[in-house]
Amino acid sequence: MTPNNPRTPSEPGDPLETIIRTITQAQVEAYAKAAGDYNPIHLDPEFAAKTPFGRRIAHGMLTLAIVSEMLTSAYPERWAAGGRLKVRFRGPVFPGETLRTTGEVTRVNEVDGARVAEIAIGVRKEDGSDVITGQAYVPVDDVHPV
Amino acid sequence: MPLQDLQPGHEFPPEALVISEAEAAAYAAAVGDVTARPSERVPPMAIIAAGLSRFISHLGLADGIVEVVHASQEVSFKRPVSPGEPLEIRAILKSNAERRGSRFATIQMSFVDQSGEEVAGASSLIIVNAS
Repeated sequence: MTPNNPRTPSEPGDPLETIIRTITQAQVEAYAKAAGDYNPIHLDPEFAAKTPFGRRIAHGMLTLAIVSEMLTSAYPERWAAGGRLKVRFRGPVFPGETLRTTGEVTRVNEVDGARVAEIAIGVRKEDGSDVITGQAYVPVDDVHPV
Repeated sequence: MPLQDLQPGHEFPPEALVISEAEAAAYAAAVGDVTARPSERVPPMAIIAAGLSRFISHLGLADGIVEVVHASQEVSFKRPVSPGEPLEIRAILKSNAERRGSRFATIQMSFVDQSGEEVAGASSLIIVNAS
C-alpha cells in the first residue's frame, strides 16, 4: 500500500485536522441537485414547517460529506481504499448553522496484516451539541511491509 | 412498491450508476470539499449519496407525502472510483418494521464494478413518519 504523508494520524491520541463550515440553504439546494435527493424536508419551507423540525434541514449525507473530507485530508490514499465508518445522526442541521468536525485516533488494531486506526469522529454545532457521532476505521500502514 | 408492503430481505432490481466528471465536480462543489480531485476520482461519499437517493426515490419517500429522517449510516470503501466508471448497485431491504407509529427501514447497498468486485458498500437506517 502507498504510505501516507508523515503527518498521518496513526497513533492513539493523534488528532485529525478540524474542518469548520457554515451550511447555507444555497448549499443544501446545490447538494439536492448533485446527489439527486429532492426530499422536501430539505427544500420546501411549507412542508418543512409542518415537521417536528419546523423548518428546512440539511441532508444528513451533506453533513457526513464533511467528515469524509476530514478523513480524505488525513488519509489521502487510504480513506477511499479500505476505509469504513459507522455513524449516528444525532440532530438536525439548519441552514445558517456552523459545524465543526472532530476526529481523534483512539486505538490501533492489527487486521489482516495491516495496522488499522480506529478514530472517534463527530460533527458538532457551535453550541456544543452533537450532530454526528461515530467511529471510522482506516488502514494506516502494513504490519509487515513488503 | 410502497415501503410498508416490502418484507425484510427484499432485493431491489440492480441499478446502473455512472458518475461523470461533471457530476463528481458538482458534488464536490456542493459539499465544499476542497480535497476532491473530481477529474481523477469520484468523491467516495458521492457514490453512497447517489445510491441512497435513488432508493429513497424508488420507495416513494421523496414526494412530500411522508417525512423521512436519516438515522444512521455505515459505509466502506474498497477502492477509488474513476469518473465515468460504470457501476452496478445491488440493494437489499435489510430490515423494515413499524414501532410507535414510525417505520424503521435499513437499506443495504453494494456497489460493484464491471468485473463484479465490490468497490463500496453502505447500510442506511431511515425513519419514516407520516406527515
